[in-house]
Amino acid sequence: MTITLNGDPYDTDAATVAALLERLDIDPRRVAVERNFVVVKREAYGATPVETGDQIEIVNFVGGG
Amino acid sequence: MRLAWFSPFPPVRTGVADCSAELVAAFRGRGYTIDPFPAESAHDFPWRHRQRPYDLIVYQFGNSSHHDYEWAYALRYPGLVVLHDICLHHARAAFLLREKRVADYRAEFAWSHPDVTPDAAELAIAGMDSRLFYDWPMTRALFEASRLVATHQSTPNSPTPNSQIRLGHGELVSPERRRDARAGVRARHAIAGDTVLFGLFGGLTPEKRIPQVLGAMRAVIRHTPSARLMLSGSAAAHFDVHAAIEAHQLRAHVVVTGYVPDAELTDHIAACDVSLNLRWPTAGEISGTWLRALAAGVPTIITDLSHLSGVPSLDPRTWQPNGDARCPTVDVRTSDLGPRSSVTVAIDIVDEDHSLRLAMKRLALDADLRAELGRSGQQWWQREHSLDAMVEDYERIMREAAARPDPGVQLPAHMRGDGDTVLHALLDPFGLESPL
Repeated sequence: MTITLNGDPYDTDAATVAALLERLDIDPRRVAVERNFVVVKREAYGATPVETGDQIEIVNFVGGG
Repeated sequence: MRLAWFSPFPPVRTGVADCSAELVAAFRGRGYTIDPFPAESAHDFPWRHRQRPYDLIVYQFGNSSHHDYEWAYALRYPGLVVLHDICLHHARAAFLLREKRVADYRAEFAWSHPDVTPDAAELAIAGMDSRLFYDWPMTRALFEASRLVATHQSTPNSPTPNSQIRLGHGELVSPERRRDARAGVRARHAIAGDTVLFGLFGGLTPEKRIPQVLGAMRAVIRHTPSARLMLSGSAAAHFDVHAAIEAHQLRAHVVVTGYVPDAELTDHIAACDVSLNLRWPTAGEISGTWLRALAAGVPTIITDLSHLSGVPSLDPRTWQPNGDARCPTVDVRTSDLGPRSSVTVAIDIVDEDHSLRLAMKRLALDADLRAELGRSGQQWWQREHSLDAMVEDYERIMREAAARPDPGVQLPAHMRGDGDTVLHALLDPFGLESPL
């Protein structure tokens, strides 16, 4: 399926937000995720589905500086 | 080469933003793939870089708040840092203290400048914007954590060796365009075509030496009563330019245009006979309006600063070359730029009032000298400050930076902290956990 990931089309077979982060090799503790303009709580990553046409925004924390 | 490019971009109104826009367009035209990362989209960088690492990350830094967001990335993802200002202390102190990170500022100041008493950090903490900041650049972390640091000027006091990139800015102005600009701009501001016109451009701040210029202008009009001074730029909140003009009794000799849109700025510069590009104190920047004046063939007067020591210049006290005889007296009969021709007049800051009067008086009277300095300045710009020259240097330095390994460096703890430290600090006293 194709989703929009941070503004770009992206093909994935990840069924959940948690699976998507795993595919992307992203540490879930270091990001905030928004699905279709709604922030997804971290404990809900495993239960939140990813579906065709979803708009997913992953915001990375970069600390320090 | 695939590049990540951290910088402000237009509509942000800074010289760095304009420079980045020009460079990105130029490199894309040469086949580079570039992803720009201004503040609003920088958060996209980590996962994009993880998915497909960039060949090189380029960070453009200046001494302003527009670059605050870049620090965290530059220290965590080493790349090529380009310093548009040699000193970043004002911006760095303002950023840390605005976020109430007083302890971080103290630690970073002490680590950056171990040869200075740590008590000096209290100046900024107390809210004093000390001129001493210019002596303490607060750039050590960028030098040590980057693959390579490049500047647009020589940096005799830099923490480690760095590379130099010629700064390209401005556009070559033809004699026809200069003639048209001279007629159009002067007509708009009721300045006669044969009036000797000095110009000063950009924000109207004391750092542009406006009080000193007004003092020199008093001396000029005794010999050249028709001479005029045009001040083109936004007024500064901390400097009343109109009061300064009144104090020098120069209201009849000075035109204040207010802010001039960028598209009209070059024509305003080209309409002048002499461009005044003085600066003190300085963060080691190169004036964009000075480069535009050179490109327009307008003779210029600058402050003789260490980071401009490579610019062949004349000392108005002797009309001999400044410095170590790096160029001979200007030859008004020569039209070609020899390797040692002077391209500007440079003022010794410790003799500023006297030297500036000499320079402005001579240039007001000597049309041949103005013409020669205009010609040699324009040729200097073509060689040193065109976009092509800058792109050529960037390509060389980017190749060098891309081939270097990431440096391993121990930075003060706050510089590599977690992104959610502040969030936890806010929630912990209430026994709450992060919702993310």
